[in-house]
Amino acid sequence: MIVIGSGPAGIFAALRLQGHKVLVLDVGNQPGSPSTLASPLYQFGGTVGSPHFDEFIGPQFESLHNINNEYLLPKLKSPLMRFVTKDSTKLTPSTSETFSPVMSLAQGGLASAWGAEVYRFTDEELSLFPFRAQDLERYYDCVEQHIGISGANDDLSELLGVDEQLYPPLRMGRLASDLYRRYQGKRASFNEKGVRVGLPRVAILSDGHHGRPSYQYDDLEFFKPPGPAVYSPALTLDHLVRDELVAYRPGYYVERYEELPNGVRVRARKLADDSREEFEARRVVLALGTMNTAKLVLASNDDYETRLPLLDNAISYVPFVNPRMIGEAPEPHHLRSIQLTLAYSGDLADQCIMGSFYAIPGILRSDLFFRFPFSLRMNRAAVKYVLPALLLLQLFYPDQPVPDSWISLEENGRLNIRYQRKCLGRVERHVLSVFRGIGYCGLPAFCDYPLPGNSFHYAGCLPMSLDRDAPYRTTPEGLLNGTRNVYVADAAVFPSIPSKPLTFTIMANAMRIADQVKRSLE
Amino acid sequence: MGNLTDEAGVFHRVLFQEPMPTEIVKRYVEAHGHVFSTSELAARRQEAETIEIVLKRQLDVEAVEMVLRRKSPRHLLTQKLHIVLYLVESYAEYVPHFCNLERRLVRSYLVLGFLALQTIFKFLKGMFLIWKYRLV
Repeated sequence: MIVIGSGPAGIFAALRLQGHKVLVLDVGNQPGSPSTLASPLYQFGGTVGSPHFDEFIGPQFESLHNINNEYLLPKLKSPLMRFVTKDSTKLTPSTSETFSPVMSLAQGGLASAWGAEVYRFTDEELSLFPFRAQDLERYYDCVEQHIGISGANDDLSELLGVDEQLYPPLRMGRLASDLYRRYQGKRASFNEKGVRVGLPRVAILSDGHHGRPSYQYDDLEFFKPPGPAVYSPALTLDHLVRDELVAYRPGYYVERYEELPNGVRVRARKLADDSREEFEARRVVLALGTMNTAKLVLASNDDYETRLPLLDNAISYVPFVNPRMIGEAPEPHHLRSIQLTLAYSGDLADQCIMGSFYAIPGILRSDLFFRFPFSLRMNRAAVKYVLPALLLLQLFYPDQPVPDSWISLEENGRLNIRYQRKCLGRVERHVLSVFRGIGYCGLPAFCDYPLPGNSFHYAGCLPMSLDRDAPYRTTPEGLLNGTRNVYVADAAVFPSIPSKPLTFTIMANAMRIADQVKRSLE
Repeated sequence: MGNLTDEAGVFHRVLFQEPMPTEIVKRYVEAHGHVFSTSELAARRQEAETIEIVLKRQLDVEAVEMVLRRKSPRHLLTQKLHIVLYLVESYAEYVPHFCNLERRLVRSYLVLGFLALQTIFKFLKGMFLIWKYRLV
């Protein structure tokens, strides 16, 4: 059995398939040598100069990326996190004026830098899927036991379900605690207006779990790879390889596959010397990440015409300022950036809209400096005095296939992407007005609507369908139509996406599909 | 090279009202080479000329930059100032410029209020300078 890719889908498929002679093929970029960076930005401990210039700014000035290049999230552009997107523009080039794709060829995929929020999809959110939430439940439970989740059963349980296995929630900052306390005081009024707030459920340990330690708050999540307390598929891969449960071959970029009478032949480029190697197996599981999986399927069919559907969670950023906190000193404790979760259900949106409140203690102030529209000195004062009072709400929007959002492959190997941008703003204005009632201010003019693609939640290129003849569709078992041995395990098979983070469901669904692969061999 | 060291000094003085340490000047020159290719700078000749005029005539960088940024958020002048900001931010000596180390509620409101008024003045001044010197 060959699994291609080591992101959440590939690793959870491999985990389920262990013992069936599994080979994981992967580019598998990894972080450089372990960093000595231990204290956060702004805690220099009496030193002078810039002892951590290479970690914060970078020997090649990596942190300056956004000055004159396409926007990359602060977490992805910092020098020690560059491995996550390394080589992606070279090996998977794309052309688009309406979409800003971010792809990863790293061990663990984009989940090497994820926010780690994990939520189960409900029946309503799976309405276009060819199965029900109940069919995923045991896989969700299995993933949860494997990764460990911290959080709480609170106001959001009605939407997220009650979870008795949760570890205690992570520490909240001063600002989020204040907002949450005020929300609880006016909960009925908020709920009437469709807004609920609760604690995030995250795959980050507040207590030890399966030999992994609890999370050490260090304000460095934007600057170095997370420790083992933050779950990453690379942790599971390490375990599978160490115990010889799967074989792992990094350094291979898979270019195409070809079906054989009793199996599949995979052709890969060995990146070290640019040679080609072929691998054969009875089944292949594609888990390269939505767009790379779509690219491989189109390339294997020499298809430079077909436009495959593309889904993406549109996002917006809504800043809230608490005027009582302007001019506050830094937080006494280090924090993690995700502080609270919000859900909106009401007349302004067809489906529930979810979002996360972020504190921004550990980010370079220069990343935000020109977000303020004032003079240089005023911006510097705003960064200094207003940021301690600022919470940033990131909202996610659901998506379904539309004719104007698609991906295709050009003969030169470039992906051509077109995405129909959504008209956002109504929910943002509503949420701003609701929170004004508890003293959190913001203006619609300061909301930011990044180019589609910045959510990194891509899906839907090879959607599951009950129509077993339609080309470029997959069966409910994950089998690619028109093939006998090619399975797809990542989010490419999702027919629609809700406003929730996708990774937890990608993991659970990959396990479900792996079971179908095993069954096909019996 | 001479131009870059000179402009680094001016930008630093505008941002922090003091000369730029030599070590950071060197890093500015190096970073500038990483951020902008020679061909790109040649293609952005008009913006580069604006910076030359601003420096040569010792115009109010802050006023001109704010207005240019409204027209073009990625104006060369803004980008060069951004390089300075990133470079100094990793230095211990600059922490007080970016981070409010003690609780200062009243002071912060006073500073923000004063600078908000100054922003209006700077904007009007910037509009005038851009009109007078035909800056783009």
